[in-house]
Amino acid sequence: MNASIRQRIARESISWLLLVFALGLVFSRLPRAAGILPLWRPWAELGVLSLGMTAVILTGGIDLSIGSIVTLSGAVLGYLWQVTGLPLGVAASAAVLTGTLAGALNGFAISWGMSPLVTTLASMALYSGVSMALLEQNRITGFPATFLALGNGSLAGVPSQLVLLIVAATVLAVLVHATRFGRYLFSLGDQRKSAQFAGVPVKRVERSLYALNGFLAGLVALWYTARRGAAVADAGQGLELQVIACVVLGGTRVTGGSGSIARTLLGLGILAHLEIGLRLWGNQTITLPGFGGGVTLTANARLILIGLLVILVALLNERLAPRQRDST
Amino acid sequence: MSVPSVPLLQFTRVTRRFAGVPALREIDFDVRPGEVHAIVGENGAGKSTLLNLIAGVLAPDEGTITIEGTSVRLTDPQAARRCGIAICHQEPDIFEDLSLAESIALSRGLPTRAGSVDWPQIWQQARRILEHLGESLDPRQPARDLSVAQRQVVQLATALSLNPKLLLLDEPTSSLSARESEWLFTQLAERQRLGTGVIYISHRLEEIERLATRVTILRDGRVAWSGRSGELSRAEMICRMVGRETEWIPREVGLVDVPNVLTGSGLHDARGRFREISFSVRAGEVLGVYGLVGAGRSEWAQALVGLRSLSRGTLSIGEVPYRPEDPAQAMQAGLAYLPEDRLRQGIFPSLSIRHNLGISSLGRWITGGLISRRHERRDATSLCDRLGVRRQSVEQPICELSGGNQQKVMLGRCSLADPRVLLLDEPTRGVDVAARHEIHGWIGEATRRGVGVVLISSELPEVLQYSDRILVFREGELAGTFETRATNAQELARAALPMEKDRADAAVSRLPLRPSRLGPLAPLVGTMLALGLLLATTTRGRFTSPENLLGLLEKISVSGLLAMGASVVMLVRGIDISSGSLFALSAASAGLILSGSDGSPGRLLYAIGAGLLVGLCGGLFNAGASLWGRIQPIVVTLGTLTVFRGLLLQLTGGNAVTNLPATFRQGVTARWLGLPAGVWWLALALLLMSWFLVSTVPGRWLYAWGSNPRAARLAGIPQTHTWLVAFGLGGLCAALAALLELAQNGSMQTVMGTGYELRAITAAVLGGTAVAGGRGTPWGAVLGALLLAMLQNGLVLWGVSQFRYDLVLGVLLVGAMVWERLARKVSP
Repeated sequence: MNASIRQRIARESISWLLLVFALGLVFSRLPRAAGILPLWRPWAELGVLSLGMTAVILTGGIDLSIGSIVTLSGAVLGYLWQVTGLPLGVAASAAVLTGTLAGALNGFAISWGMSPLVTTLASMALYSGVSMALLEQNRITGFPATFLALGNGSLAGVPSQLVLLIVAATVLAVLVHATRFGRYLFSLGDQRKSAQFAGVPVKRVERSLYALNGFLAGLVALWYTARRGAAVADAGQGLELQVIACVVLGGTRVTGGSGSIARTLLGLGILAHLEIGLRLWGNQTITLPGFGGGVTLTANARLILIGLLVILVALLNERLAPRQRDST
Repeated sequence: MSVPSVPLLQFTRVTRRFAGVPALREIDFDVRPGEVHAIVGENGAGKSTLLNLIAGVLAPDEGTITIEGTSVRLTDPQAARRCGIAICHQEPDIFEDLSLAESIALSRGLPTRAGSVDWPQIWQQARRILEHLGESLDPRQPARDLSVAQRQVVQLATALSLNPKLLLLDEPTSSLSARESEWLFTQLAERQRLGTGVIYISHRLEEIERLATRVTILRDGRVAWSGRSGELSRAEMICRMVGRETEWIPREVGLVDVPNVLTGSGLHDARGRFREISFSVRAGEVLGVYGLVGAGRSEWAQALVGLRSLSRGTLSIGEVPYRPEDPAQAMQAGLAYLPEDRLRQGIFPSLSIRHNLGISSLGRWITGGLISRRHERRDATSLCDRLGVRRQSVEQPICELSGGNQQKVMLGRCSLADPRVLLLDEPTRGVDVAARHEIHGWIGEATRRGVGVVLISSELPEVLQYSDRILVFREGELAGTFETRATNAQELARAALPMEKDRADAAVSRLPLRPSRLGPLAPLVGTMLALGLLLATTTRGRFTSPENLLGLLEKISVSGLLAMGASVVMLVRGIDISSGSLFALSAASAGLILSGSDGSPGRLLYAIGAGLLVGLCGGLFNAGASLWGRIQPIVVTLGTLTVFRGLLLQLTGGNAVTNLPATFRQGVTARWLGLPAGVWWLALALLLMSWFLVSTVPGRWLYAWGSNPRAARLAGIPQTHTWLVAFGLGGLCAALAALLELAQNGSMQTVMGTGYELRAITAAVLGGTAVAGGRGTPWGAVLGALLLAMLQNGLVLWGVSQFRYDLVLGVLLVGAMVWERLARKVSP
């Protein structure tokens, strides 16, 4: 029993230590604490995506197409508004709808028995292909200022993205931790067969889950496009990796069944501040005691560090997870 | 006939426990050359534990096992095989993606000659083995096309072909027809003359009377009787199997004029596992269901709650007609099911007791869409108290509880649904005595509230003691319904044992498991030819111009290698999305060594070696981390995707690598025999890879492991080995491809290789590599890459915007994955 508590403490402390380190990195370089607010904008967008991804990973699934869905929704928004001349409000609704449909399509394929990895790998290629075909190399710009304010404005001093994140995190936290749907997610991820036998409507849950994830991506696409002031065909490229990194760094198990929205916010905090912090430090040479010269931190070290952290935290989480007493 | 004094196999006071509960206690047992020693006993008597001890799957806790007088420790299946023991399991494991001949050869150990797999001998062996069968089986046919009976026959024939000293047969005839059984008996008689010892586990007493020299009867993990065959009559044997007349007091419940809560008539399983089952459950009664494993009891119970589909028959709950759809609806209708396999179908192992209890009845605690955790916890705590679940708190993960306490939680889950009928499938399996008692008490309590209980059990005493009426299942049919007070153990056991053979069901088992299979490469080659023809006719000769074709070949020398790498990784059920970054990292390592150098041969070798080494190490790291952490390679490669790119940037300082020596470039771009040298490198790699995969034992292991990991483990193929080899090769392919592209371009940018992993995977899948592992060839992968290159080329020639290429790629990938899903029939 003691061992299991020790393991739990170990699991918790990894993420918290990382967060403290990352925050230290940022605030030791930042002249004014409020200076962090604008830096948070892109990370808050990423955070909204990682909320949906948490729900997906809780079921033992994965959605690699999430970045492509952001791209696709952005492309649809730009295309409908500029090329077909629809009112921006209509185009925006269509963009969110597109995201939802793209997610639902993933959900249908997965509930039909295709593996989430395979399905979303394929649809990642498909959705970015559609965006490419829609926009080619055009940058669609010239959005009205009211729309751009969505990406660059603030509400009572709080950046708009952060408002979105707070709202989305609240809703998702309630959904995942306090509703029937949320319970089903955990059950599915912990042991699919048992869920089926216990009367969990497995297919329905999967379909709505991936549709929800698509919806969030469609929503984020609006903020993303507004912040950058342009819709481009490679907007969301590689986003899925950072999103998954947030979830994993927080300590949600990649095999499903264990994790939380709060953990993902923690993971987001770690990733965001590590990235911001390392960027602020720039090409500094840090002299570590015991090393002769010094270690130069560059942008590349950032990539290496974060990649290794993701692997390390995922491995540790899996190895420290509670285990069946005896398997015969 | 004098019996040689040294037994082939001897058990001396062998004990084996599971979680402290003994499954075998102080067993003494031996087999002598030339005898058939039959083992009989009820389900759970310890037969399979005994078998697993001999097979090397389990090790004894106490006592010794000796083979021909020497004490042995059988630590793994191979050790048993080396000792001359051959085993036929009740359900044969087969490598479905491989040919029948190879599947046979793998279970015997692949024959080699001069270090490579001896295919002629594989075919010859298989032909020789199959000839004996009198079945017209083609050694080249895919193993997946075999029916269950054919698989069993092939397994038996393979075991016999090893000329074992000791042959273990577990229910060998359960899926065989009378003719096939006769064949087996003749074979056994012949082996007996040659001095082979046979352990024969079966429920069919008439077979045992006919074959066995000696019989050992197991009951509750002990030897209940052992002696010469024929000393006991069948009735006496049954009596020893089920034990003395247990002292049971028939339950005194007035069950006259009680309404039925559940009735069914003429139920047929859609997949033929049970037929023509009619029954009724009365309120407040316990309806016992007895039968051997595989008799259709569990399938029947699962069909009642909609986990399997019924093809015929009607059901009603009370007076209301009922059609099962899924467990949730069944629960609404008043039917709760406790699954047979608690660990895999029942519990959510790492979730809390509270979660495990409440999952089926969340509606109780929901107000306004939200679950009140406080109420849930309160109810869970009081329910656990009532059930006597020994725990620290209801928030504890259920896997920390003992089997008995886990089962009580499962019963709690059922009772929360307030069912009218409880279907309990083996409720006391793997449960200690105290918990068993509590569970039986709980069943009695449920009946007093008017719940109808169906108690499915393999243990006769349990059924006899706790039920009012008893249904007996035999081979998918109802063998009878008995009033408990008017029957006895012998009568029930006799009803449950299989009849003399005249198998109508042989026709069912003879159906191939997977009737149709779509050829993996046919659509690809077809599409390619069509596309080629279309391109040749619509581009006014530009497609077929030498420069264009040569350019195409240069392109696929890189993408073909990457596809090969993706394919070999997917063969072992892995995936590598870091290959694009690894590709670039290898190129950078080689490029930096070469940049600005004179291009002397030594320098070239150094650079190429470094590039390949980086690729190899990257692949090995991916495999090693996945294996060590027991996590999917997708997560690891997701991480290394970033790490490799970061290392690349660190190495190059973010600058392009240029100024490569001409000698290096010429090694790839020069024309050799009219073709770009790169193509020859691809051809060489393709030949080597094909040779490795087809002709070496480690190569065949990749296919075997990807096809059926469980069977592979029994055949002695370790996962560590196959994964390291496959990912290592994948890394090498990426590195070689990187060297080619580096030489072709003469320089490299830091973004080199971005998105290549996706194209490589697409090409591999188009080329017939199964994402689920076990199928795929390097040739197919290269053809897939060729198709992609032709498409891209075609789009350019047709003047279609290059931005459509990604769309085409996406559509193709989705199409290929859907195709693969269609080709793979859902397993039953």
